[in-house]
Amino acid sequence: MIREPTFLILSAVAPRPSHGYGILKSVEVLSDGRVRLRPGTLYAALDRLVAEGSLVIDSEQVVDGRLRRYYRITDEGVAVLNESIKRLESNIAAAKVQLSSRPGIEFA
Amino acid sequence: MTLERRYRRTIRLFPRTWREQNEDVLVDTLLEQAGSDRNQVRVADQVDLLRTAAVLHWRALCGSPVRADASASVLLAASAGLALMTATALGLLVRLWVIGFGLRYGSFPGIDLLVATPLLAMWPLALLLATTRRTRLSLSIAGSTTMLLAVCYLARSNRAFNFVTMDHALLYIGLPLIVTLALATTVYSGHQVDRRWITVAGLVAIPLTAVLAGGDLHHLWQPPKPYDSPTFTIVAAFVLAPTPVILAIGIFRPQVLLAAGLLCTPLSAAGLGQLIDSLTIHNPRPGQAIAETPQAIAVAAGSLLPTTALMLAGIAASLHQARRADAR
Repeated sequence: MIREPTFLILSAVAPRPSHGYGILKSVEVLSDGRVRLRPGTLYAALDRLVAEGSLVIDSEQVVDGRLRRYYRITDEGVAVLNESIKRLESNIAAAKVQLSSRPGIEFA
Repeated sequence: MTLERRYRRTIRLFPRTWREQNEDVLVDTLLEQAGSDRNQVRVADQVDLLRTAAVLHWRALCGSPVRADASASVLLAASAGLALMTATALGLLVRLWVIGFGLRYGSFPGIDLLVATPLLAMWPLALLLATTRRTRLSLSIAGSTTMLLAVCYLARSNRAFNFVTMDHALLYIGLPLIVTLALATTVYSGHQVDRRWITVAGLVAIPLTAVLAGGDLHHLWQPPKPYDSPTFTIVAAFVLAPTPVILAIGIFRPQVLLAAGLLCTPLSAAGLGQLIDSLTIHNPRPGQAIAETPQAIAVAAGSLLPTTALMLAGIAASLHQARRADAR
């Protein structure tokens, strides 16, 4: 099971290739401001995800004399993300059932 | 100092290879995040960078799975194993011939434990370098260490400075060799493997070497006692008994053969060392030792044959598997 930051990073690059700062912002938005990754942590995670085959480097651009690298999700990354979604959904469903069977509390 | 330079100063602590590939994009992200109105590195960012540096160093050492350089590792283990056998054979022959010609061991310059111990510590170092993919350096260290050990055998004296008797010397070489090189070879077979295991092996090998060396320090002032033949028999039995099992496993896992060969070599050589020790210490007359030379060589050859065969089979199988993995 992947951890929350990894889940959010994969989600952030799922629609289109994105660069470091773009991923940081997406993760923040996706998590409703709860998860704010720092650049060091982000690149350690990106490095690992590339090594594991979930991400690949899409392209590199020079913007204002600085190097910007875009990461793209792979089929393997999509599979990892789907697997996590399934697990989370099944956990959510199970938790809802547990809560709804508690006497006196109605689940909205 | 600009913000960019401050960031780069901290990033200098990251692993070099990582920096070469990622420093510029990381700096870009850091600067983009900082915006244009800031000139100081935030403490939280600084802490995060330091933490990331530690994570990446740990990962580079042992963490992430790697596609290993199988043939180089096999070469490393093989050359070390073969060199070890050469050293053993040289040691045996010299000992027999010195006795045979009635020379006193003490007439050679004594090379004691203080010289031998740092040499033996080179094994874990060679392994460590192998894990960082400095294969050539690793191979040179393994090879030169073994050669120096062979020189120690040739030059050592039997009485006052019996720095390590044959079996002890082989334990010094053998145990780290078993734990480190055998594991390295088994692990570095072209599969995706966790390097954590090699690190663990190294961490076992280093204190083990130190303990063994420390335990033998008393030989500096106290000569070792003669050995008995029964000890040799017991050692030989231990070495030969698992051979069929190893061969059976080897059919499915070729690397086990190589690991087993490396495991058996120092042990059988240790047994041989004891045999020769008992022969030469109990029968110190020149003529007798000469007469026993063919007998000892026959025993040596017989004892080393299975380990040599195991190792060669393992090397061949590992190389074959690595080539197949490359072709895929």
